[in-house]
Amino acid sequence: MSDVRKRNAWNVVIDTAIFVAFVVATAPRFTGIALHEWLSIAFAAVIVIHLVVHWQWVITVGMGFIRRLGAAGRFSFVLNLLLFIAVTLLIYSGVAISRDVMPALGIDIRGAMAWRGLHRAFSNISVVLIGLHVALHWRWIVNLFRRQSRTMTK
Amino acid sequence: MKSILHGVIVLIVAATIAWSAQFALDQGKLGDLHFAEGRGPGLRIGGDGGGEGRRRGQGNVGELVGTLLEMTAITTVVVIGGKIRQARRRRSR
Repeated sequence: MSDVRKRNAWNVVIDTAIFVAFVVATAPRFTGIALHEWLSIAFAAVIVIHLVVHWQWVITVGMGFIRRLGAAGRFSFVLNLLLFIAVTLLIYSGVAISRDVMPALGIDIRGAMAWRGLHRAFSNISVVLIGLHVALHWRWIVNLFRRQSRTMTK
Repeated sequence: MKSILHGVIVLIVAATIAWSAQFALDQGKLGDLHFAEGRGPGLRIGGDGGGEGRRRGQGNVGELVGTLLEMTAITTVVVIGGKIRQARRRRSR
């Protein structure tokens, strides 16, 4: 397998893990609070890996945004920036109102009650932004899956 | 080594965003905000009403399905919208 294919295969695994973790984590009534919190911590770690893997894109598009970039590129960059801010605040507010993970780690956090409302608001905003993020990368996702399935059937 | 550095940069930016939000909250800039009980914007199916004081039950698939539906709806609308725009452009050429 070539390096590009290997990288793409890893991207598929990481991105699928992020998507599944996010969808499951947004349903605390389905998982229960403890699993919701631990899954969210894992989600935060994989988000950092996702950003590191796509670091070149962040730099290239970020620099292009300042210099010259098409409307689609600018929209994509702004959307991803907003998504990063929303997910960061979602995770932080989650940590601030944690009932299981933080006490289990011996960290006593008594976050303000306002974080609870903000956590829900950022969760709803993130759902919308991730939906848009997936839509913007839809062609890439479909092409990648087509290529992977073709190589598997060969 | 480079990847670790990039990861550290991501964490520093994230910590700055979180600290700014904490600062705003401490200053009372966010504390006066009121949020609707139980339901935010967007579609939520199932659930027990989501009251803040209520102990939430476990195993409710409705919430999970709701989030999936919400995301699917957004993605579908944007993808189809993009395809329509593309087709219009092609036709106008």
